[in-house]
Amino acid sequence: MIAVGGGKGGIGKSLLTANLGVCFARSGKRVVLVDADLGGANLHTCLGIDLPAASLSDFVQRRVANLEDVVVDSGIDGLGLISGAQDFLGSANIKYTQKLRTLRQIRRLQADVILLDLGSGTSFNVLDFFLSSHLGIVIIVPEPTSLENSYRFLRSAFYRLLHHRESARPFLEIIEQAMLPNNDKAIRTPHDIIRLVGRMDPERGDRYRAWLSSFRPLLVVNQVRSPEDAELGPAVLLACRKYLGIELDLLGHIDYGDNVWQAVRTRTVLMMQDVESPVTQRIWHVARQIEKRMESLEVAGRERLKL
Amino acid sequence: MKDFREQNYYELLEVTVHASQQEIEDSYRQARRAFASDSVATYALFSPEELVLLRRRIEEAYRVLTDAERRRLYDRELSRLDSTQWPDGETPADTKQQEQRADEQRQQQEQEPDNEDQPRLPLVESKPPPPADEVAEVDPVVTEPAEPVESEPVESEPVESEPVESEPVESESAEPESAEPKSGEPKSGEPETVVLESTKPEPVGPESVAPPAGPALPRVEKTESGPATDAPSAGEAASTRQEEQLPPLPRIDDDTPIDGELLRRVRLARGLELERIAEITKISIYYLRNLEIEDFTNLPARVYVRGYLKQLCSILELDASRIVDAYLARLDAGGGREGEG
Ligand SMILES: Nc1ncnc2c1ncn2[C@@H]1O[C@H](COP(=O)(O)OP(=O)(O)OP(=O)(O)O)[C@@H](O)[C@H]1O
Ligand SMILES: [Mg+2]
Repeated sequence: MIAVGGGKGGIGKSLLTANLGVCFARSGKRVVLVDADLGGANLHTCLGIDLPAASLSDFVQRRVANLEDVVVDSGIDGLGLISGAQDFLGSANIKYTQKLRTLRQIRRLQADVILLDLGSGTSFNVLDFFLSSHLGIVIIVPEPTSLENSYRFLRSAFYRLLHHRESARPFLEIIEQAMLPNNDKAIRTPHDIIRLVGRMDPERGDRYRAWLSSFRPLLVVNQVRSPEDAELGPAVLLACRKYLGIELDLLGHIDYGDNVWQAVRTRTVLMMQDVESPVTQRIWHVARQIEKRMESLEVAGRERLKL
Repeated sequence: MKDFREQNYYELLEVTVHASQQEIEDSYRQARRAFASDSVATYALFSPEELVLLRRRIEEAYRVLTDAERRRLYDRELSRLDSTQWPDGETPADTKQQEQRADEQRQQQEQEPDNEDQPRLPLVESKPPPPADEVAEVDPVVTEPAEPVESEPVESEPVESEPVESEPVESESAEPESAEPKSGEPKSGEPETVVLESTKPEPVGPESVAPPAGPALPRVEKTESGPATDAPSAGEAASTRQEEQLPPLPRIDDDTPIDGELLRRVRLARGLELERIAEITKISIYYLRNLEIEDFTNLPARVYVRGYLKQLCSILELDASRIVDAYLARLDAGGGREGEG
């Protein structure tokens, strides 16, 4: 189970989800794409198909008991789609119990790879889908706004993780404080929380620190237009490590290509049409990197939030 | 990973104490680029003041570490400060002898590019860091006091604002002056509970009372505390099914090698995932894994490993007196992955 997120809208989450899905399917895996963007589901468009009749809504609204029953054929061999929910538009808030039920059933889908296309923002739903996945991909594009959102996303995701794992009131309060942008405890980074908690309870501080070091989201830089843009990945890794203490794992970058939006416009999937372009090559590279991470997951379980 | 204000020069540049001149150069150049004032990567992350401070520290680190004599003095100071920081009593002062070994390690790491979990600073990360206060007061490389949080009486003493540049050794008398133990602070009355899987309702209401420290053994099944909506089906049932198909418990007699593989096999026979053990013991899954694959170079100091092994034995229902020392002997013999590679 792999989540694709990144905080900001319009950075290529859906596009990458669809194209990675094609890569995995082409490597002979059974793939299901899940449009978990509860606000603006459009993954089907990236696959060049019409809005399917069955969707996640049917499951969430309990019209269908089994999530497996809303998996539709994407038209590409080995690639199934659970189309996004259309009818709770704007309400990115499905109930907590619904979320648990959905997550449980997603995890149980008959597939080798499940890719979740997350919505933008840092709502608890988005964060929980991200944290529940075995691998979480964060996409950035070389723009300040994208970085701002991604850093916020990463920070929020880690705080949310702490919040799930913590159960003692005073510490929960600290974490909740940290989640507020201008909190009066002046908590700006995970380091600040760890320091604060470590003073009250050193062992707990150590535990938090261990959680921080095992929190390893993957990073993809999309829409790269220049050699400088391509260097952004390593720089972000460094900055994130230094400032947030979060160690990202860089999968690679994807060039900006006119063929990308052209494919969307002509309702085709890039990876199916264009096998030679730089963008396609890059996406293949990212897919292979992910496969490697999946293999090491099989060897040794990765920490994952179980809701 | 520490806050950059608390990092020593090696940590700042993210190099090992054995780093060559070239590695330091490379690392420095990369850091300069990433933290340049026009770098997009730091946008919305560092405040301008923090960036200035960080750049200054990186410059400092570079100047000291690329000057053989100053580096030697700095190393001496570091190892004097805290010899436990260096595994096996190995201190950066031994750099010369170690260089060859470090090279070998590097080569090996290059051959294993997939070993993504390698921490960049194993030497430092392996040690549970001392409380932040202590660091701030004892570590001479800290140039700015860690920001006082809340109203605790921290560092009323003026802290040197300029980095100790030339002779770090001179600060010999830097005694932990105001190192008052924070004994006044009562440990919070929270009972330390072992919560294996917490399912909390979304709106954080008054915390439901966590179960009292449960049995240390992991067979506790997940209980859905929230209003469960699903009838338990395939997934839940799976754990029961798995139990029936567990591999047999390996026999341990006098000539059974006590190694990581044995730990792994016992764990599998007990039907435990690493992440489950990590949850229960709070030992980092990274270390648990390294114990099993015998990646001895990426384990914390021996004394911690011993503690881990004991915890592990208790969970795996193994006789600690047989396992712990035998495994440590193996570790001392320096076998493991490194030896085989
Ligand atoms: N590498 C690229 N080169 C050119 N165009 C791209 C590239 N990546 C994405 N785009 C374009 O950016 C637009 C947004 O992409 P996409 O819908 O995948 O973003 P998203 O992150 O899913 O957005 P949202 O949060 O709104 O769902 C698309 O029209 C796509 O064609
Ligand atoms: Mg989208």
